[in-house]
Amino acid sequence: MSLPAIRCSLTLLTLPAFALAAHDTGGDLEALMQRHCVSCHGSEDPEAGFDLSDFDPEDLDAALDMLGRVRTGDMPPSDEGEAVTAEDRNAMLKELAALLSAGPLDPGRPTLRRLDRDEYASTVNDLLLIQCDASRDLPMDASSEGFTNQGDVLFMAPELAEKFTLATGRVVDQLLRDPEGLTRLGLQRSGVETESLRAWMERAFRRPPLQGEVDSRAELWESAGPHAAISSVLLSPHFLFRVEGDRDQETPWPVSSWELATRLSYFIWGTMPDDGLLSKAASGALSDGVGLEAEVERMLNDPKAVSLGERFAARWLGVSEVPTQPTDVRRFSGIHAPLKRSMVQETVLFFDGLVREDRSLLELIDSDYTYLNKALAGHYGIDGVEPGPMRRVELSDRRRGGVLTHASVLFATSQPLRTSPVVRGAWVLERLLASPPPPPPPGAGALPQDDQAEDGLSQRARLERHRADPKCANCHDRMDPLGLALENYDGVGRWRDEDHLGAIDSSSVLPGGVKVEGVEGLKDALLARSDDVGRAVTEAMMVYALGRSLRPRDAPFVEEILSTLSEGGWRARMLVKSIVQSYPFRYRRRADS
Amino acid sequence: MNSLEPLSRRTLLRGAGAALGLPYLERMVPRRGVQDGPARMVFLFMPNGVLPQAWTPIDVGPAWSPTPSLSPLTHHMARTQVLTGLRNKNSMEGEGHYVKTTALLSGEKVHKTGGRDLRVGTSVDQVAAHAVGTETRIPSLVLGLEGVRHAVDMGYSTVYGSHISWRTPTQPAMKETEPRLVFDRLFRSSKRRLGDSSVLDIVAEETASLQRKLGGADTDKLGEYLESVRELERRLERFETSMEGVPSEEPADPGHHEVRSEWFLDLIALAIEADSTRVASLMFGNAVGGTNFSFIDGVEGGHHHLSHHEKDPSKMDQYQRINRWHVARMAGLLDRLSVKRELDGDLLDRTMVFLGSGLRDGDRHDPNDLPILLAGGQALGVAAGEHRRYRKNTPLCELYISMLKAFGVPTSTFGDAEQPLRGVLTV
Repeated sequence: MSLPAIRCSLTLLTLPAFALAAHDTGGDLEALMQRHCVSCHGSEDPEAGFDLSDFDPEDLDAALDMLGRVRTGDMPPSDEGEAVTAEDRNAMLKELAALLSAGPLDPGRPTLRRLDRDEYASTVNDLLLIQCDASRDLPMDASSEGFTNQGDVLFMAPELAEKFTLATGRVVDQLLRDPEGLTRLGLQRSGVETESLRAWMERAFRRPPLQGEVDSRAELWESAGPHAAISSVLLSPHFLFRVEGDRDQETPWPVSSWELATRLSYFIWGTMPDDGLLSKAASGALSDGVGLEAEVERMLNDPKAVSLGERFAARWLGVSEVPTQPTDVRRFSGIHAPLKRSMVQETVLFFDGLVREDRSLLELIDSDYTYLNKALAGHYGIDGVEPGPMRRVELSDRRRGGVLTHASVLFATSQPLRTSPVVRGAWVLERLLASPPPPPPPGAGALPQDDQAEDGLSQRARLERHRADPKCANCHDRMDPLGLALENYDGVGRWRDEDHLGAIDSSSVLPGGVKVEGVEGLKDALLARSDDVGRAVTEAMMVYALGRSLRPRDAPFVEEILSTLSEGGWRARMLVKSIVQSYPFRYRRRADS
Repeated sequence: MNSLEPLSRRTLLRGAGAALGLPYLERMVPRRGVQDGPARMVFLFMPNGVLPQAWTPIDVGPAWSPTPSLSPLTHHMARTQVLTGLRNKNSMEGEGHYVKTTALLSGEKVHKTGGRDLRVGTSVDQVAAHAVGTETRIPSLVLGLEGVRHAVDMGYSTVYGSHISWRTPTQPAMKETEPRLVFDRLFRSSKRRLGDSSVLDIVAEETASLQRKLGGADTDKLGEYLESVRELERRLERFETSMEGVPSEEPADPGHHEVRSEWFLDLIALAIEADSTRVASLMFGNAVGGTNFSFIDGVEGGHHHLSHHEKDPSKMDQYQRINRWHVARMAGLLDRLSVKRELDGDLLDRTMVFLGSGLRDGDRHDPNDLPILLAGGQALGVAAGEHRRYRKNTPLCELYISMLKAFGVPTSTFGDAEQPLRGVLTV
């Protein structure tokens, strides 16, 4: 979830009004790059095709890419040319950050978002006050960066419109079958009263409806009955899409209080605003920072905030598809669907607990409790958990606790017949440290499918052979040690002290020479990099909250949130609140021409 | 595999036969070319390439000897063309899988993007669907075993690798992955699900009005919706003349790869028999598909990993078994189509069935000399079965020009091709 240039290159703004005023690099950046960069990234045969001999300070993609590499120490490499002093490194970081924050603030612009499958299902239930799984009729949505609520990939097509029509028919049927259904909504079957229809449509459109919009439904109610009238609201683009108004204005503007309420509601609850939130939108209570923060507190106290665990955390950590990910029935017997659902539930409840109790986000790395039911406790070899629902369980040792030890994560990062230290290592880099490795080059090869392959080698030995190739070592030196430290967990997340070859060796050496012993050592190593862990969760949650990928011009907003969080002890609620208060969450701008 | 097959599938086939409504000739739907009968095309896609030495027959001509991978087609040899030497030129650049998958049926260049502004080209199946889609209940069936994947890999959105069918150059055709939902759409369709014209009027009007007020990409998103609603309105009008049939049982969906594959093939065959659609595509997996094929005897592990066999004999053997499994699925569809009579032949006579992959050897990511099979369609002018070896670099898209001609939608160019593929058609 970091910001590699590749992901941003297409979203870079080119509108002149927002273009960077020619920035004076003061010659400092140029001198630094001359000293540390151009010996490899020069005009002749530049390394990785990246030519810095004629660096354009308006190329924000390149600036952001460099910023990331310098920050993580990836570049400049210490073994090339002049040794890089900490002073020079900091100076480069400062100069690059200045490039990114120069010019007017830009809130970005998410593409118009249709309600995704889950949002739609929750919203119709909340709007019609029914219990119905409307997602049953809808196909899975595509997603971007792991999230399904991203405007760019929320497609619409005739087949999908047909399915929304079908789903609409079903939910309205269910509403009308209940004799009290319409009454609960303040509506009456015979003869509709315009005022009550208007009030209900305000909830559906998440803003006061226009007179014409109400009149057309009132007429339809008269001529064709309640089914048609209600269906026409549920199929309206004002319901199916999260519409935000545009202005013919160069400079960004704050979104309306109704639009802000909708942004808040889908971010924190994954569903429509409730009456409390709508009334605050109506009264203007969200327009000052204090009122907004108070409302966020209220929303986070609501049980619906579990959506942050279900929709944000499970997707950020890549475990949402665990229940449908097949297990090899011959190798792993007894791993049934209910257990897989419990695995995901552990991760969901854990993140929900962090937010609910406003705990430190660093507990994502290590915690002395987790959430289990009897089956999952049995899977972990933990005794004393009685039958019943998932609940908080105190842990007596560090082999469990923190998302690294969740079976959901360990299972999602394994192959059908073996663990994958490479995938696990890449997962840690990408999801927890905000520095994803590049994808493998074509022809990179793969380890044997089955860890019980005939060559009798351990995973560790096979990986060591692979890393002997310098082409491979560059990335695998970063990934493999992280994953090897987790080798005490098998492909479904169970603890093991030995495998078919004998005792498991889970020691490894991280780049920079830090020795790590197993999961406990890995947790300590990650806790020592709390800034990176904080960055990873922050960037991911911003993508989720904003409904779009981050771009170079978002870097200043990310930095501001990170410094607030770091000073405040990485509190989970502070993250949610900082994102809500951030400029891109509260503002909108014109479309690129 | 029989123990995994739910009883209800057979029940459906029996029930559906009676309830499907009427076969093509007796249907009262508007159609063209009544005197000639319908033309159809089905595209089957297998990810991750094939093991070349177990795929391509040594001998060319009508009397080719089936290789281990092609052996399931032995009884359909007379109607199956093995096409060797075709290349998809525009998929040579970019990365190993996504580009080669998503451009397989269009032959166009793929725009490198992580999600915003996807762009390939309209795929051959959708060109056909646009031309005749209004004549059937559903313009095309677009099916897949795996859902739409979500990530950026090597700078490409994996949405690319999840789609071979593109309605427009920028919009993938929506792929259905739940047999139950496909079934509902085909056989449980009622006027109700298309909505009510007075409702759709209001919705279309509001969408058009909103579209005028918003800018940028938002306009496009609303345009997609407006077009979709209008399409529903058109279908609602057509509905009055179409027939409905409701089989007694809907498919169970036990999640097993082979069972689900069989279901989808059943649904394609049924839809063709009922003339509910004349165009279908089915992806057995997405690009880089890692389906665990351990249910095949002698195979242990995931498809993509085994495709990177690195010349290891054991992996090559397993990879080849997976290739053969896909060919056996194709053979199963040919079986289904060839036992149903239509006009003076069977359904396969008027249906072109394509099986292919965007790569040759999965170990090498090579889009030259692709593994391509074309069966059936002999009543449409497709030549009898033969192994044809073309000169190096012959465009795959020449095949699509030929298929579109047989389909009745002639075009002089397609993708990188400017002429039909020699020998595939008899005329």
